[in-house]
Amino acid sequence: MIQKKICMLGASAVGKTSLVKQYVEGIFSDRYLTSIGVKIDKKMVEVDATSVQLMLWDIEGVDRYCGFNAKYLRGTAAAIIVVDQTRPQSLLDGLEICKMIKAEKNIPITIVTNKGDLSKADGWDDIFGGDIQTFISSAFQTSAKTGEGVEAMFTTVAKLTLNKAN
Amino acid sequence: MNASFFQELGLFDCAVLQWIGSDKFKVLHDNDTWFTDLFSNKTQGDICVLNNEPFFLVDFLYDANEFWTLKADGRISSGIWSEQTEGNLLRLEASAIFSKGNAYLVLFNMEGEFNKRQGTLQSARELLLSNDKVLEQHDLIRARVESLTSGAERQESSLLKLRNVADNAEFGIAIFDKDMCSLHQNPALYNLFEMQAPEEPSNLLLDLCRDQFPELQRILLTGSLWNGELYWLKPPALSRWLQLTICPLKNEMGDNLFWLFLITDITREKYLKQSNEKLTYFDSLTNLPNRQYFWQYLERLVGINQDFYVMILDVKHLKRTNEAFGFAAGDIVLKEIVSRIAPLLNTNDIFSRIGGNEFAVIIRDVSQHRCKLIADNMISVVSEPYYVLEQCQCNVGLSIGAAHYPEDGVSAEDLMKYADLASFSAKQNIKSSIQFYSTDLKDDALKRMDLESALREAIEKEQFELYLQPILDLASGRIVQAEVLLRWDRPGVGMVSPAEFIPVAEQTGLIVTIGKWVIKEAISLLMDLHRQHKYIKLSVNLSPAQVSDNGLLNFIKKSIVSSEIDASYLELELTEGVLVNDFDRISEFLVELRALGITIAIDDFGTGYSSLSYLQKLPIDFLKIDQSFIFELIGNDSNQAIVQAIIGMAKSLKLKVIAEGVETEAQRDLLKEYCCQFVQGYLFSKPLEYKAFCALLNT
Repeated sequence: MIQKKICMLGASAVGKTSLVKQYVEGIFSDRYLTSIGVKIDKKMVEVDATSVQLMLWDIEGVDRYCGFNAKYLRGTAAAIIVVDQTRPQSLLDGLEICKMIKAEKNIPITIVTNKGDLSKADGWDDIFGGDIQTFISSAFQTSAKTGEGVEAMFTTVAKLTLNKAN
Repeated sequence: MNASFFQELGLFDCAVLQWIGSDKFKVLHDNDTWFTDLFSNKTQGDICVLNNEPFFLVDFLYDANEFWTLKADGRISSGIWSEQTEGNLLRLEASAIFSKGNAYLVLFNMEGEFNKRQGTLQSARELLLSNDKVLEQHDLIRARVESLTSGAERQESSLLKLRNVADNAEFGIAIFDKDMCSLHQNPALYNLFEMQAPEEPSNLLLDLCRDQFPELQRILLTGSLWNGELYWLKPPALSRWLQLTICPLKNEMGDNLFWLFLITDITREKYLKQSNEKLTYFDSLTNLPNRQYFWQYLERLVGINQDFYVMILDVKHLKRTNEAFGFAAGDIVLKEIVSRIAPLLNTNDIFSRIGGNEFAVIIRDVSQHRCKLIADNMISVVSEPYYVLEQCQCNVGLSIGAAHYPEDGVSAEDLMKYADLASFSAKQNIKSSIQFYSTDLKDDALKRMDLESALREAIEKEQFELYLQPILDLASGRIVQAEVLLRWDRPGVGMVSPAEFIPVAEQTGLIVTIGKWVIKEAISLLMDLHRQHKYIKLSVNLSPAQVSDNGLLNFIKKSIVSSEIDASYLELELTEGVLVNDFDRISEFLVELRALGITIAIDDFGTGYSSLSYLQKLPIDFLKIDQSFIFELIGNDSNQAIVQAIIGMAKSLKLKVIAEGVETEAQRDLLKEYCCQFVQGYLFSKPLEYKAFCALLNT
């Protein structure tokens, strides 16, 4: 069995834990409960007849109370940067995290625009059209609430870890 | 007493494993509930092999192994992680310890600490989100209304559109005219203050601002943007905290059309804060006391009747850092500023963050001399470079204002108002500086504000006039050109010196509007001269602020096209400093001007940053030797050498030279000897009104 470590990163309250919960347990809660430290969840996926155990490292949101800890990237096969489409600042924070990851490791980065069930903030597309595209391997729109795009996103990330995305 | 005794007392809850090599550990002490749950019933004396799970712990062992091989006493920690066992969700933290030749792995049950930290961070992050949301909404609405008023539309039509936007906003909006008369208040504002027409919530809003913000007067007089919080109490039981943004709305001429007050109810956020006292009184970024704490402290101190200085520290160029490197970088700089300033203060002093880029300090029982020394030290340490985000360098400065209790004021409001005024005055300096409050300062500030308001009126009522000072061809003695000079005849005051009003116009940005008027008027004079068949060139000065205005080039192009003048009769004068500030942009700008046919002169040449390279690379036509060299030309060997060198250099670069400030025949003769081509100065003519200048041309 192949094990792949995937780091979930992003600003606080963008929905990292909710995405993992929706993917692993199929549940969603509207109540925001901030994460502290790291929690690892596992999920088996089949990628082209290969069984892969994804180890999803759900890491505390990066903000003024918790900095980016490059140590957590050790051994990671891919990174998922989650951003909240109702808050443009979370995209700018996500871009900064992308840059910090690229400075540490050359791994595939997937940007996940979460909260797709809510309206997009004004000016979002202008920021998204900027240099963020140069850092990422794939981009997804998801809603942890409705489950839209969640399975497809994790499956693509699993393929990326095996270099089978195309 | 063994470890389990302490554990039973709840003093600590941990498991201790001793590293015995590779990935093997011996259990020295265990907790019979969570540890056995985690390690499949391992107990004291058993050997554990950690080679796959728990994943987080196995990952931490990479760091632990590195640490243990150093064989130095100490410890490192993993940080908190959550581990789901069959029955429980554990909150754990691991430490790798090396002590007296032995390596240990200690696992702590962090359940209590986790819950405590989660409670605090939950509030803090909800606050951050709420605060960001409020400011984002205010920014959004501000951007929308600014776009409505930035066009050259009539004030009435701008107001109509503003009202439409305001009436649909979810938060309170009050619109005032430039004299602070209420023009409109939206339904949300009535709801916020629980009022109904004909009551005016905007009046209550202004009263709250006047009572709670001593800096309000300065903000209104200087047309500044401002963010802050207000507290409204309606006895017996109703109270609200309000987030307020005050912004001036200006038209493209820079005139203040309206004042916009945006108000959001943040009582819930305040309630959240109160659930954590540290968040109520301390700034979460820097951990310094916040504005609220500072005010309470200041009010208490005033009651004690002890000498002290209140200082307001305004961080210069922080906006530039935020724009260049992002807000995360700005936050790093702010934290670094705190760590640099804090060691300069005594434990008795108060150091507080009172605004986005503002700090306040109270220093007790010191002389003004000592206070200045401390301020100078602050400026010195803050001016050192900052390295953010992978060694990007940025620089900030400090403008410090200080007021003394009891000499300058005896109430907290007055002291803050005066320190703010002094800080505002210090901000007018390009360099970091400290300014102590004085009545002269207050008078100067009022005078400056009065001058600014009179300048706005002067623009509106076209009180300016252009004077022309002839420039002569030294060989023929003919007037070939004239420099355009701005004069202001202020009603009731008389002629105001350009040295007095130009700096104020530059600081306030009014120079852009004034500069456009000068160009337009100079082109009108050129048209009139050409109608009289007087084909001479007019030379107009451009200030640094004008050159930074992106709309200037288009304005010049349009003015030339609409007037149909031959642009080769228009010359623009720039100083050396302008050229070196932003070479690439200036180069592009000058090339465009040259393409139109306009000539370029470098004014005050020899006094600034002289670099031959830009003279070669830029499309420059004239060098104007600064008059300071000409005033002391006779009998001053070094000035003579400089003037000769400039003329020689200009000749080799195929540039023409104008000597400014020629006042004596001896100066003129020497310049002739040096083969200087053009001269300007009182020897030939003072600056003249247009009619007198035309008369001189006809003689």
